[in-house]
Amino acid sequence: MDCLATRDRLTEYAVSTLSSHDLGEVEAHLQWCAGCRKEARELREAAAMVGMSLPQSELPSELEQRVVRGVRSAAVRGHPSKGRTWVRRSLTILAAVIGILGMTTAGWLFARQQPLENQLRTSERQAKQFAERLNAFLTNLPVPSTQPHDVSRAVLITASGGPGGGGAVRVTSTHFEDIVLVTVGGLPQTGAPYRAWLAGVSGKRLYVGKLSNGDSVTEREFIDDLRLYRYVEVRDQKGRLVLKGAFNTTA
Amino acid sequence: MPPIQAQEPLSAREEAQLVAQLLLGDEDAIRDVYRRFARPVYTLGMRLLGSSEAAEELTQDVFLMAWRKAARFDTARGRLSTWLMAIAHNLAVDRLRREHGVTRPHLVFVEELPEREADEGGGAGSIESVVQRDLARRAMESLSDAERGLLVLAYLRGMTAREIAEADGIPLGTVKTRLRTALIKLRRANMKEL
Repeated sequence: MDCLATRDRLTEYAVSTLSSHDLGEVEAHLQWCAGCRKEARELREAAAMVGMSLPQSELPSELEQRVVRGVRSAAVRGHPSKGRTWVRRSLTILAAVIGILGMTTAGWLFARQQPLENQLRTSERQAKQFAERLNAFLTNLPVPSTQPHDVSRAVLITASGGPGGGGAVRVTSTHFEDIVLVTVGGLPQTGAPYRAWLAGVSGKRLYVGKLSNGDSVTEREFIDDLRLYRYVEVRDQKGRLVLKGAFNTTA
Repeated sequence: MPPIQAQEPLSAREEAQLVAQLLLGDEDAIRDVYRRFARPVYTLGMRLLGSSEAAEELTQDVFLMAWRKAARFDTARGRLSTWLMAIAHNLAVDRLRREHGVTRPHLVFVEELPEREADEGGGAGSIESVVQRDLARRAMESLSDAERGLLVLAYLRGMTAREIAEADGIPLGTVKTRLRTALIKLRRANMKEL
């Protein structure tokens, strides 16, 4: 989706009336387009004024204590590195994650599903790229690297007996936006471009990104809490489910 | 951080300090943010979700989400109140999507609440809430009746631009343009007040 199409949808994005499909496309565009992102933020803040202008209801007396207890409890559980409010872009953070895990995740996932020589070569190339990003990240990091809060992996298996496979890494954190990376290998070129989605138990879906060919990687940051999304789906150009998997391993 | 008077509206710098403390899980900061901003959040939950139980859950979720994303809050980009309300609206709409299993929300705006409405001056942290609401109301009053009506249909009832266009018998492009114009006017009016 280009800027023109995105801006045509930003008003409805601001008031949350976009369809799931358009929402995914718009959010994917906003990940890399600073201009549209700025406009989206301004429109959303303006929309918030509508809610703030409502006559206000009285708060239940015990709600404050429940809110305080909930946030305090989460803070105690989830802040191993209190006060470090650094924010990094997804690729560098993912590189750090992969490095911290002590494995070339993408390569490992590819190798597990696709032991063909050409796909392993792809894996090795990507592993090298990730390692380079990791080094750059660690070099620039102002504080010692710390393990992100939750890192989960999913192995994607074929949904219909066809070729191909893949994997996904999901990072949820209090310090930066939640991130997901989806990588595929060995999928037929005839089905490209493929699209990756996250799905929640309730059926809600979040668009991750486009996979331009059968051996690709896509990643994205989300404002949403990705812990609510357990499943990964990869669909072909006609929307048919080709790969699926579930996050179930905490590193 | 010096103590912040709970009843006084915050400067942008004080908001940044407060959010920094919130990120650390500081109890005083959590209470301060709650007392200042929980009422409009809870009100929105009541209006969109229709029950005090759902509104309470939403309020808890909003503050938890605010803590999780506190590192992303930037006062240069907007006020804490609008940031929290954007989170609240987004979470409320997400909840409606999940519960109804549809690709977009079907909001039922609860116009006649069975719950009691608080007096303007009542309740914890009310001065901040009243000030924020007053700013929002004045910004809304800068719009025409038609513009206000459009925003209510979209933001509070969840109607798409296409549905509004069909209901009112006007072109889709016109609805989109009017909605956009209304939001821009609203933002400008609010910025002028700050």
